[in-house]
Amino acid sequence: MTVLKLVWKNLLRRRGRFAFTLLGITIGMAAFVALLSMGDNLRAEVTHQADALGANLIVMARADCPFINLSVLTGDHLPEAIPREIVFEIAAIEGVTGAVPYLTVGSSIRQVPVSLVGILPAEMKRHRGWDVHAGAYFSHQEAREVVLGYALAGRFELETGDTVTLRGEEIPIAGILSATNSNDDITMFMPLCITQEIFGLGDYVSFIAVTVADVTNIDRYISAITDIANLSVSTNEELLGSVLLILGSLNVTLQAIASVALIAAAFGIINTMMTATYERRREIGILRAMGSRSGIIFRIFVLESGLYGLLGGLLGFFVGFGVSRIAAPVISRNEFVAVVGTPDTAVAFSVTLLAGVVALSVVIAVAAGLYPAWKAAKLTPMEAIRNG
Amino acid sequence: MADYIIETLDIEKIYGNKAKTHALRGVSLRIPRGGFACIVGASGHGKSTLLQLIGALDKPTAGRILLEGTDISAMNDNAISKLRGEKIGFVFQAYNLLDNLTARENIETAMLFSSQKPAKNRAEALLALVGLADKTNAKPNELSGGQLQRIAIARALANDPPILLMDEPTGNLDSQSEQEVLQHIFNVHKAGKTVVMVTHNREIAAKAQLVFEIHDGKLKEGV
Repeated sequence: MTVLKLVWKNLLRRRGRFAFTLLGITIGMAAFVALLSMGDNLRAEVTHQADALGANLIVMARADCPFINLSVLTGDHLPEAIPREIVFEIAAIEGVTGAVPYLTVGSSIRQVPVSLVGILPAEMKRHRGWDVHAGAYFSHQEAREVVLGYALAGRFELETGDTVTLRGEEIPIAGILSATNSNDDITMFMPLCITQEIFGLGDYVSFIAVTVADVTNIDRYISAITDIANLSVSTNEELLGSVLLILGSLNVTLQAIASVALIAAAFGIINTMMTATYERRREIGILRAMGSRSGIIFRIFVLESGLYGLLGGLLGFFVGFGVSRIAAPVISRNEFVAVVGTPDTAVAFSVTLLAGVVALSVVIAVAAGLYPAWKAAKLTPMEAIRNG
Repeated sequence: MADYIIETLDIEKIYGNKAKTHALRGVSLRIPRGGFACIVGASGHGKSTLLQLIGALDKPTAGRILLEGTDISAMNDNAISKLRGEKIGFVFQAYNLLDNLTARENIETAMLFSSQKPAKNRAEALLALVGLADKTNAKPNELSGGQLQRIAIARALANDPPILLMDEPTGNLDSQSEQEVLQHIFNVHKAGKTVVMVTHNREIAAKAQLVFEIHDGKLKEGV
């Protein structure tokens, strides 16, 4: 017999209560893992998407709110506010190696919102380094056809030769891009001029991705672009920074939700341990009569709550991990948070994360068990035996 | 000079703050090492209180208690716990075994709190001593009252204490079980232990070497 064995037998004495208390901490930790994993995943994916843009500078219309930056990465609809001739003027600046316009339009396939981006096919293919998975790329710069991202085609079970309906017009699908593990996978592309025509837009674009020859001289390029027109120019890092700032707020919200779940679980443990303290007063008295110091009684109760934390942390990690794997693709189908990732994106298993989660769970459970343990240890042998 | 293992010197015990109950009034007694003493008296007159004070389960309001010559009244909680674990074995009327543990585990648990390591073999030997070698893995709810009390006696002996304190150990038993349990208690005493037993039963008390009668918190020494 050891103290640990005694503790384990105590836990299993009321199996129903044990299971429900364990369930509480498991759900709390699972929520914590799932929400934080999604938050971290979101952050990683945004960084990935920003890299995928392949631009040194992003040119947008001035006075758009900072949240618009997120839309650049999600492919959401942006105001078509930059005259197209600006693209040519920027491309003509010495040292600018590429100026690729994007016209983002809110569209749908079978009543499901989908991002449609108007592009210059040749420039875009060169800029993004796309490969074609099936069918063909745009036959020419003004082809009246669309090319779909890999995951988008899979999601709607569309193939080359099928059509999509845009503003009442049947547009054939020329090809399907190979997977890029970026937002391109869930986007539909169409030549810029055709997009402008079908959606009745003027010769405007939403934003321009600019690449430059000398990144150490970035301020000079920004100055040259702003001389052309009153535009907002962000470096890739600035864009990423502002998006991550927004995501930081989202992460704080997710953490707050996870914290509520954990606090609820901690109170579950306190409740269980307080009940145990009350119910087991006679037992405490017997142990004290047999020579147990009050410190050992304290240790027994803290160990019991700590075991809830250990088991709850382990179970919670795997449940949360599983939930985040299942939930991420579902969430990514929502256009606003499409940036969570493509359906292939999943939370990576990490031993460090597992250890951290279990440690946090144990700390919370032990902290929750301190007061009940102190109450139990404080009982004198006679109080315990007499009132037990 | 006699070797007294237990001495109480003018002890008082008062319960409650506002409504005070005077449970013991100036009780002084001495029990020699290896003695067999019974404390008798009517219910509510202070027998169990006296036993609990001797067993260091509670502290006297006034007076001193010496165990093996050491004043336990002034000891701190840790020292008193150590003393209970190593010097005293308790047997309660209600057995007070831990319901979720087997007979052997109940005995081993008592060994957790002394300097000796919990030993499966010793626990089984003690069960054999009280005639329950075949009940090693039985849980309390599978045993009769007499069997439970014999396990309680085995548990009290777990750390080989010199003193056994018993509060009405046969109070819940039928006459046959009572005789069995008493026989084990007499055996324990013959083996050299000092036994102090609280009882209502005058026949049992008559078999003791010393009888202390408590009446209204005061001691009347008998034969």
